Amino acid sequence: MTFKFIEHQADISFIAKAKTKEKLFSECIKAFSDYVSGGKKSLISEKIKFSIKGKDDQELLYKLIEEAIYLMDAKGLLVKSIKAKFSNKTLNGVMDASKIRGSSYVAIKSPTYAEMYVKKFFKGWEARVVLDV
Amino acid sequence: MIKKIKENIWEVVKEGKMLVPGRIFASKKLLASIENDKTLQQIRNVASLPGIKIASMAMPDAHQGYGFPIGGVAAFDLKEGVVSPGGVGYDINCGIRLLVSSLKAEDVMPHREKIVKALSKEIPSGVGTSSEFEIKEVDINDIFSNGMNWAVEKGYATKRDQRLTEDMGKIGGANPDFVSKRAKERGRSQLGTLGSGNHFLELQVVEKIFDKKIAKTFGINEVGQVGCMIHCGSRGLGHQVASDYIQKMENEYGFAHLPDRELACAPIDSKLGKEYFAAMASAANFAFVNRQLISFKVRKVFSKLFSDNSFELVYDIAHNIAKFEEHVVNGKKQIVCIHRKGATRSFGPGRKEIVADYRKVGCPILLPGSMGTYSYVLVGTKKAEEISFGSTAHGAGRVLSRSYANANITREDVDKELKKRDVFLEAKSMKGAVEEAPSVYKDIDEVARVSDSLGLGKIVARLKPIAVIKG
Repeated sequence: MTFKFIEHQADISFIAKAKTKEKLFSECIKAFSDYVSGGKKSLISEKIKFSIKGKDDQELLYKLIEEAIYLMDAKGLLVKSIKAKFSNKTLNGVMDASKIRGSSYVAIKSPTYAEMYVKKFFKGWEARVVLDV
Repeated sequence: MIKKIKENIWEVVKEGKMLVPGRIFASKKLLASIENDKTLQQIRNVASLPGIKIASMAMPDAHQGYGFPIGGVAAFDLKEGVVSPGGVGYDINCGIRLLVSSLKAEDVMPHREKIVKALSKEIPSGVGTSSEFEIKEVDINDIFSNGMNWAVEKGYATKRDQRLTEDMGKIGGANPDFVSKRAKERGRSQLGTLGSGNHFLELQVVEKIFDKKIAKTFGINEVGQVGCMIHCGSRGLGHQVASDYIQKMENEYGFAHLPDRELACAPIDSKLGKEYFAAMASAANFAFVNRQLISFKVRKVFSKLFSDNSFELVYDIAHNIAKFEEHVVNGKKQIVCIHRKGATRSFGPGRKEIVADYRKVGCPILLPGSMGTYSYVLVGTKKAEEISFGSTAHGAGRVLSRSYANANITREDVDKELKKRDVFLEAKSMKGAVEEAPSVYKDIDEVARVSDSLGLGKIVARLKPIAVIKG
C-alpha cells in the first residue's frame, strides 16, 4: 500500500506515492476505494473505459475521483483500481470496479482542490487529496 | 492579526488583498478552536473576493471548509460581486428540519428500538441503497422547478409542510436546463435517502423550554414532547452541481488570481453566474423535497405503531445556500447576494420572508448537536439582521478529525458513551458511528450560548436525543 491517510479536521485526506504518474493516479483510486469500503474485499465485476481531459494534473485527478464517485452514486459501482495512460492533457484507461453490496459504505460528496498537489520527486510521484465526506 | 471588538466579537484586521475586514462571532473557547485550523486564512481569502460588503464573517461554530470556511457568511454587491459554489458548499441546501409529535417520551421509550429499526428499514442511508421513490425525468425537472409544490401535488406533503419550509420549499429562479445529466443521474435514485457523513435522523425529546410563548408558536408545547430532527441535503445531485460549476467557472474566469482554487467564482450578473444560481436553486428545491420524503416515511412508521398521533413540521431550513436578500449596508437598504455556508438565516420579527405563522416572533433556527448531545431551537432576531446579515450558527462544528476518530475511538466506545446518555444508535457503517462520535464535535451548548448572548439567535427550547440513525 503506497497511500496513507493523514490528519484533516473536517474530512478525509491522503497522500499517495508511486514510481510513475499513471501508478500514482491508480494509488489515489485505491485510497478512495479503501476509505469508502473500509478495506472490504470484493470481486471485480466490471471493466469501464474512460477518457478524462483536464487543464493540469490536479484537474485530471479531481475528475478521475469525481468519475469514481459518479459511478458509485449513479451505477452502484465501486472503482477499485485503474490502468491508464496520459496523452497530452488526457487520461485514457480502464477502471476495475465491483458491485456495491450492502449499505456499510461511506458516501463521498466530492473531491476537492483543497491542499491538492501532484508532484514529481527525485524517486517518483506524490499526490495529496482531500475528499469532502 | 485579530483584535477584540467587544465581548464575543473579534475582527480579523484588513491586510494585503482583503477588501473588508473579517468578523468572528465566538467566545474565547470557540475562538481557540477556530484558530487551530485554516479558518482564519479562509476568512481572509473570502474578504478578498470582488464586491464583498462590510465583512467576511464567521459564525460561532466556524471551522475549516473548502474555499469559504464552514460557518462562513458573506454578502456581495449585485453589480460588482461574485457568486461562488465554494461559498455555498458541495452539499447545496444541506439543512435541518424538526417535526414534533403529540406523543410523549413515555409513549415512545418502551418501543424505541422497534421504531428505530422500522425507520431504518423505510429510510435508506449510507451508500449502495436507493430510494423506493420512482423518479422519472419529468418529475425530477418538476422537483427542480417547483420544490415542495411537487411533494404536495403527489401527496407526500401537506400545505402546512410546504408553508413551514423556508421560502415555501421553492427557491425562485430554478431551471433544470442548467443541471447536468450526470447530476440528475446521481440524484435520481437518492431522493428520500439520508446519505452518510454527518447526516442523521434523530428522535428527540423536549428537555427544556426557555421561552414558552415562542415555543408554543413553533408547536413546542411541553417538556417530554417527542420530536424528530432530520439533517441531510441534496445528496449526489447537489455535489455534482457544485463540482460542475467550479469547473465551469475555472474555465471561464481562471483561478490563478484567486487565493484558493476552491474559490472559483463568477460575477453575479454574468451568464455563468446566473446559470449557477439556476442550478443551485434546482438542487436546493430537490433537497427540500428530499427531507420532506423522509418526513413522509417517519409519519408512515409512527402511524403504524401509534394510532393516535401526529407529527407536525416546526420548520425546515437551509444552511448551505446563496440568496438575494435586502439588508442595510452602510446605512442604506440594498439587495445583496448572501452566501451562507454552514450558517442559518436569523431574521427577526416582521421580515416578509418569514411565514405568516411565525412572522410576529421571528424565524425558527435549528441547531443540531452531535449524536448524544442536545439540539436547540432558537428564534431569529433584529440584532442578527444588524450585525451578521441575519445569520447565526448551524450546529456544533467539528473539533477533531475523522482520522483521529478512526485511530482513537472504537465503535464500542461510542456505544458505551451513548448508552450512558441513554441514546440508541443505529449506524450502517462503523465509520458512520466512530467519525461522528460526540467527542469530535464542539460544545453545542457553548455555540448556542454565544449565539444567544450576542443576540444572533435567542434560545427557545432544548431537545435531548433518544435515538439516532446514521448512514
